[in-house]
Amino acid sequence: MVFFTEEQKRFCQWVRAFALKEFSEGAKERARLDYVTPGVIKKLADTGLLELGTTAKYTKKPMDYVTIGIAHEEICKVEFPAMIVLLIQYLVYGLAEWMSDELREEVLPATSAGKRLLCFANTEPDCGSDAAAIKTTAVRDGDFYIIRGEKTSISGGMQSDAVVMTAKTDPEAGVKGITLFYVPLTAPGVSRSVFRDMGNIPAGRASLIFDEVRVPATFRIGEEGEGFSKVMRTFDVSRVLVGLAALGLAEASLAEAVEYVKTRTAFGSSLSRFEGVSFKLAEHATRMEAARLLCYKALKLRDEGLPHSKEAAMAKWFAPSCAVEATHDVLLIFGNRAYSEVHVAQQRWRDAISCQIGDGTAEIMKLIVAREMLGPKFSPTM
Amino acid sequence: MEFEFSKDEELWQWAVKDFAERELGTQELATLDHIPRDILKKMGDLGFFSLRVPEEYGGNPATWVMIGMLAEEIAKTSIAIAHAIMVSYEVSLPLATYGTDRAKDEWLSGLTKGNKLGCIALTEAGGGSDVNETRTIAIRDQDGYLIRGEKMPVSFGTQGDVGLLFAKTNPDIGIGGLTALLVPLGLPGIRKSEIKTMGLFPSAPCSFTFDGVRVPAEYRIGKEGEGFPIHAGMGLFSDFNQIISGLIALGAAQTAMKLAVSYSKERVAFGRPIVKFEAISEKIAENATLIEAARWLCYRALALKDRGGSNRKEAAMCGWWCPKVAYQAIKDSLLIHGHAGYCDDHPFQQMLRDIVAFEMISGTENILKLIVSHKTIGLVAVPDSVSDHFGYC
Repeated sequence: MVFFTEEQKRFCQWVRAFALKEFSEGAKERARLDYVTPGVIKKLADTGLLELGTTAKYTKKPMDYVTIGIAHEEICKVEFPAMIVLLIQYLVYGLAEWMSDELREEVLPATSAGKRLLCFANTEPDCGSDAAAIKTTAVRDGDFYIIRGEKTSISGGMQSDAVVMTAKTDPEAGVKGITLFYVPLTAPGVSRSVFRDMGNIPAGRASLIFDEVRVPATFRIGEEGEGFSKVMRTFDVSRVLVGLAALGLAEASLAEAVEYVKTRTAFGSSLSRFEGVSFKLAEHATRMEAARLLCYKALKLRDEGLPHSKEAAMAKWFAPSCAVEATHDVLLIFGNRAYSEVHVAQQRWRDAISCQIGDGTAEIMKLIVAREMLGPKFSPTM
Repeated sequence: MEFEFSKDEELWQWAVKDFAERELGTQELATLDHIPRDILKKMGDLGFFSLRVPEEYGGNPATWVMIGMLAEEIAKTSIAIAHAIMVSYEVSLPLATYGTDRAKDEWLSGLTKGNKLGCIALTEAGGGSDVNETRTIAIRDQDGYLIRGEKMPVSFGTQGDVGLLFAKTNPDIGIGGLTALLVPLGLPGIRKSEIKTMGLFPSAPCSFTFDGVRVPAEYRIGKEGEGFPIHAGMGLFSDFNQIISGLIALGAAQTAMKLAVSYSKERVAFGRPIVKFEAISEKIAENATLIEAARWLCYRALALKDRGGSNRKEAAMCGWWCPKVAYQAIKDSLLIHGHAGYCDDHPFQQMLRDIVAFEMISGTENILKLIVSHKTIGLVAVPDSVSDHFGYC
């Protein structure tokens, strides 16, 4: 990437080599499991990739956002299921400064060591895109809060030890009534069930039900009513990271197609010699490169402290869409053989679609972009 | 110019629709690893496998349009059953047209009644779009043929009773050496190995190994060397495959759209049903437009066939475009449902897996566009290495 610093370039080389060395073997089989293997988590933790924090105060390895993006792209080229683990660790460090000392002590060492897996929960059965419409409540009871409600569509929900979640501490106050909590999923009153998805199976997407779950008040993150703004702030990065993860996956798919079309022959020449095939690959390479640059631009803006919500939203709808189209065409280029349930091309296509849905639909992203372009007065109303 | 189905055709469509809703809509078929035989039998009793088959073999006169309606209506409820119907006709119609009396007597009535299921053994590991590469051979041995080779993937191979196989009777020449043979799948020397797929599970494909399998000479369909013109990939029946698979894909897409319409009326975000947002309603409108255009392209291609005109160009257009339209409509319907659409609580993820098969069934998009190029531009648009094939088209 042209604008990477020397240090970022070195990190990129290192993490690419690391991913290839550590995750190439067995990646295909792991993609079909319904959990992220402890081996993968341990390898990520051992190299410090689970403390991708930007706040030097709380992490041994402060990193800029571009570097965090590089980690997502490169790891997901080889081990896509690692995405949810990387994403959530980033999110935790993003929220660390608002945690109580007690909570930081409880959470940070264990998560960066890969010993505690976290997930993030906002979506509920009746609201996804409309994030402020949540119904889960947290009622103060002395030194505790009592949480009631249902969260759904939670990536990593089945496997995680704890959740960072939103709940309303003041149901009358709209977005200003939303507060963030850290909730151990081993707490009494928590139950979970899994969705059987078409792809990204290791994410173990789940519904979490909270039936009068008591959590210490020290597990609140930030003040009451600050949850929505804090979450939205972190979304501006996680959206880009999902985009880069999807692109990493699609880059791997494209690379596999490039090798295949050189060796497969039809009508006496390699498939690559037919424009109908090779130009399709060229088109996807172009779109994916544009999407990549957009993603890194958004992260770079964030690193420089500049506004980047628009770019992040652009990246979130565009990059996964490029990834899905590319993996779909690659699947069709491989033809019948890729229709087999063990073929990597169909796996990557099924996985890529998950990135189009998670972390915000294309419609919400386009709304954000439109608002930035048109201003609130002339934007579509919600 | 008329855009109307005949009264008979409309009645037929109604009968198929009624059956599909009553018998197929009430059960979970998409995840089975086979087509239930009782369904085939019921459809056989209703004449679903009898269209255009000669009456002495239990057949009924019908238009090609009626076969299209059958496929489309069934696919609205079950993509896999519609696939079984299409493949069954790809065996029975060449058999009816080119088969010997013995082959017809022994197999045609069974296929027509839904007692027997056929499959097509054409593709091999080494050659998909390019049938020149066919390695399976059939050597004349007195009053029979000895077949050696491998075929994969063969849809319905694991459960089929009889295969229409394409093998070289003259390995020294290209497509002119290809011959069609009817092969009962219980014969000695046949080995099957199941192929686990990403979708279209009830069609359960397998690979076949034929190790000196002997079939009577009377099971040859057509003359030696006439296999290519007969086969469903690019020969005389390829238009059928291209159009019918297009209509199956579009049938499924219409169901996905219907579900997306009702969901988006019920699902509320930001205080109103999401269908009130243009991002949703325009997507539905766009897909409805494309589906409507694609459907009529299919029926136009079938109507041309009914009138005895050439439909090669229109059929190839259906072959590449309709599955693409269907893929987009189903995928958009899935995304409209958000994460709910991504899991097996809803049919979309299964439909999308299934529809990818239809993006491959008539050959690659490239080969189909090549046929369209040939018909719209001329032989100059066809690469030299491929032009041999187009002599037949």
